[in-house]
Amino acid sequence: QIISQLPYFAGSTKPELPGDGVARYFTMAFCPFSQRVHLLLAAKEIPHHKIYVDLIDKPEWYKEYSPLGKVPAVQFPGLKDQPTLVESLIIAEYLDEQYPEPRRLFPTDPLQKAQDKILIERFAPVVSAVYPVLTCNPNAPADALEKFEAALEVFEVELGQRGTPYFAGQTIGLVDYMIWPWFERFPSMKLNSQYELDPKRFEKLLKWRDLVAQDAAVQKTALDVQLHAEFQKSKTLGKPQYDVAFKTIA
Amino acid sequence: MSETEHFTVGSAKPVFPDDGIMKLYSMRFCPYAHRVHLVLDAKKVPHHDVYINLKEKPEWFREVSSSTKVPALELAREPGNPVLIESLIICDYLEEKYPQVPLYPKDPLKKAQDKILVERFGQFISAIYKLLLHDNPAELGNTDLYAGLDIYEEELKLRGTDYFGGESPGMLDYMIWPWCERFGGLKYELGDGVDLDPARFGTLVGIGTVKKIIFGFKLVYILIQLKWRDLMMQDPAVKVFYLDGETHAKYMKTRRAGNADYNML
Repeated sequence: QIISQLPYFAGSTKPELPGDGVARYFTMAFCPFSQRVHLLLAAKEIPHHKIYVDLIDKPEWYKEYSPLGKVPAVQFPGLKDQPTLVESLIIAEYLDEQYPEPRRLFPTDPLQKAQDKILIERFAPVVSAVYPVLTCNPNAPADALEKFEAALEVFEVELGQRGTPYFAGQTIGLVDYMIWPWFERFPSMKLNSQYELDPKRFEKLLKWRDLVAQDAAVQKTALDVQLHAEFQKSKTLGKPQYDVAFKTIA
Repeated sequence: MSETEHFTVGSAKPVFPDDGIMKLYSMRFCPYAHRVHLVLDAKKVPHHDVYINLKEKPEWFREVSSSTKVPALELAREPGNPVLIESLIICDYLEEKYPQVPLYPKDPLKKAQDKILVERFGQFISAIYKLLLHDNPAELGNTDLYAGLDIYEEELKLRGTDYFGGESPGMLDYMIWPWCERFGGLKYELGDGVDLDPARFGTLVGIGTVKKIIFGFKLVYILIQLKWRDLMMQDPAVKVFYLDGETHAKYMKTRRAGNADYNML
């Protein structure tokens, strides 16, 4: 449902955005938080224009849409005042409510929904622990991977307790989509740091990962592990190379 | 045992009758826990308050709250008595479970926009903590500590209503209130100059208009057009948990000294 893709980088003049009332999704190709929104847009089959934003040399005009210059942001030019929403979880929850078809991704039961939100929140320490290794930071703390695995274990245990193929239940849901982007990136650590998840310790999670990788929305938004690895490495050479995203894998 | 006795190391876990009433694990001066108190009281949802000494937590608290943080809400009418954590998640749950006094707008877009403003306030909180916990305010120099509050002043002005929530306080009002209440304590520590400037924040705290009227042969001054902060202070849910500036300042002083006096009240 991507109508068009417009790459805009530093110092550029404000782009001529299409005036067709279709949603505008501001993103950076490799941003995992941004991918959360991409997954929702794909799962709900919401037509949108994709506009790439350089996060290091942020274009000045972008602040009109996202006051703090962050991605993701989604603007709805078809609505009154053409509002823009920011914050990946807030956008995701809004899209789930506003676009109930083909189906709701959050549970309708308030308690289950709260417990899923808590689980998503508990993924934050996983992300912060693994970040220096994922981004090939030469000064990564010695215990980064240890902390990462300890935080990730919560999810292995939780999946076992829930006893369903997805965290959301028998079918994929918002909680699965919200944590997915990092699982897509973990395999890049094998290429860059020779690290991969222990198949015994994370047996259930790896099974879940293989299942989710087959999801239609996940496949629509996926970037090849090689591209992820290359992008992360490019950060160590100075400026991140955003256009790695547009490479085709032979 | 005082009403706000904080349970600490070595204390027994309090036992409550099997009355189907939820338990809120809290700390009397915690602004995040304060948010949950406000929503529970606004929706008039019965709850037991269990106060926790956060510096020396009782051993049994680890099993209650996986994050060992407050607030934590233990539900009493669900199988297994599940515990919810994270102030915003708890408040969202209460909003959905107890819709009788709705705090969010019905419109999903307006609700999302209010949530963004709540989230953004979180960034302002970190800046304010520097002020609230700083030993030597002179060191803070000319940092504009209230820069993050400008958008709220603008937003309330734009909405043109008494509260962000409209004619009565909504979720956004309650989610930011705990810190706005604590600003009242700053001037006790740092002098009058620190209080919110009514010229800059005319809609939030500006001095209301005074009107002279004759009432029963007496000349009476009445304050009309109360500003947001004054209106909030009159709100029944706010009143339940309200502490004045002097009390907040007294507590913050003990906190800064590394010896938080939880049972101060």
